[in-house]
Amino acid sequence: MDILKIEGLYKSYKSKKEEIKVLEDINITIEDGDIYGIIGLSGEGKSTLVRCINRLETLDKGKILFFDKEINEYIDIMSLKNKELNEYRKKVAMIFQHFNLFEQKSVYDNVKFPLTLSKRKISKEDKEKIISLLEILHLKDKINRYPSELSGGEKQRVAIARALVNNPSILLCDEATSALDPETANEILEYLRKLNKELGITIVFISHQMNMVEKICNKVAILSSHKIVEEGSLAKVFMLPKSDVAKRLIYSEKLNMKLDDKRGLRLIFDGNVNEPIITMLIETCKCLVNIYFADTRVSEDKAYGQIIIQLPYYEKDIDKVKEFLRLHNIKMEEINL
Amino acid sequence: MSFTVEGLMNSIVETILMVLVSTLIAYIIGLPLGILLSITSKKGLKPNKYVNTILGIIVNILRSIPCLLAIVILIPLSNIILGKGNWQGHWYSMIIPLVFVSFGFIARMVETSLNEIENGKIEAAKSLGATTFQIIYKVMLSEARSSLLSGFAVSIVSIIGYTSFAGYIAGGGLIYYAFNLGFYGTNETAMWLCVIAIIIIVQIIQEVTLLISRKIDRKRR
Repeated sequence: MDILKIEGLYKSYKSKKEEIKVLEDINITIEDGDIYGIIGLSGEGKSTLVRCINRLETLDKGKILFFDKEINEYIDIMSLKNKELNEYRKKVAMIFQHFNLFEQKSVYDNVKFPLTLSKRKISKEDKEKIISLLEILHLKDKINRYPSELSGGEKQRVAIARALVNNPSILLCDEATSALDPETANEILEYLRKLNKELGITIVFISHQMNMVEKICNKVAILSSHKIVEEGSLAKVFMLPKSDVAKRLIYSEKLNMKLDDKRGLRLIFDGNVNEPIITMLIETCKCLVNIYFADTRVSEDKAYGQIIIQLPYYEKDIDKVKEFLRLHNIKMEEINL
Repeated sequence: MSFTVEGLMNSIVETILMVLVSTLIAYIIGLPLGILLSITSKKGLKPNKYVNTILGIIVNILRSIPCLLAIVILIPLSNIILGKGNWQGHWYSMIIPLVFVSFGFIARMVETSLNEIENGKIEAAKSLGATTFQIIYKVMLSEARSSLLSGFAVSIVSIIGYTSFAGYIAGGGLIYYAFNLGFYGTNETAMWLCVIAIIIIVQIIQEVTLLISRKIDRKRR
């Protein structure tokens, strides 16, 4: 089932002198349960797009249709008036790059906030709901703390709990991991994945960080020059990027493709390795590895024998490869091919 | 005019009453006005150029009328509200002019405090489905509470300063009492005693509000 359909969306900002195009003819269909990534460089309108989805911005042209599970019908979100709009926003929650927590409210009160918007009294079930969310996000011991006492990752987890307390159908993530260090960012991704799986919530994940999108999304759209240049399953877009932008985004932090056809490296395995060392080498050094010759056998989970690989072209990449092998105690010698 | 302990005490009570009642009423008018100024501004919650400009002009005019003239201008209004001729010589005679000269100032203080709130928080509240009214009282007033309270201290201290004009309508109060002692009574020691009393009152208000303001601020700890 499609939960969100964006059809022919146009958006521009008008200043006194000129009209600046931000989004042009955007068509996206998001299925229920998707983790949908929207990638693009800064200034391409990603944030504007996500802000249009929950009507923090208005559209110039086009339609956004949201499937409301309560009435089993699509609603055109541009037609919503005040009260209906606020009801809609409770179904499409959002988290932000800079968390935007209420700093004068405790963790508990932050998460409680969305509930207080529709009712005067917080019931026992509501309280349990808040506590269980804080438990899922491992924040139970921070329940009476204030945002200023939390780390970035914790703040974003509180923001997630706050967004989810009204049981929304969609969670919009606007650069949600961009202000965090890589380790914390991965942690947040893990939580999002878990929530997607366990609560079945659809996630729209906006980012300029390819590696983040790659880790979490099942579908992606690439935004460039205010248009969607590529769209589809993660595998399809990442395996066969067609547009230049997609290629640049995908390969920029990917493998170094150039190899030296004269120099090689012999790796000697004498039973001290029991890990997939070549894969790890590729991952860590971001270098392409070409196996020239291999003669290994495995006995009792340990590898014996030798592998000859072609060395990368650039000296700095060669250094990385050698350092990696040294760290893993693999004997090596440089040879001419 | 001679100095008596009873006279001093009476004056202190008059000043406190005058200041508290005026501040309260000035806030009842100034707080909503400040909120309106803040939310109708260009980057506010409900931008409205016309409302913002008109309110801004009114507030600026009010703020530029000196207290002394306000007393004169407001004599007819005082006659209507408090009854013709009945109010002169009583502490409450000063309330109308004090409110008049301070609520514009208070509105600006409130506006500044509210404008300090990061836009992201307001956007977050919006994205969670909060109405404008809910954003104002559940987010803006709560997030700015510490700054609002510091503004309250500044306002109340300047209102104490304005009470000195009470002398012109025999409105009473500590400053008027001290002035009479020093000017007509030539009892300088007694005058200084009054000055010390004023200083203590101002100090207490300033320190207590500052303490509470710091205590309720969860942001900078």
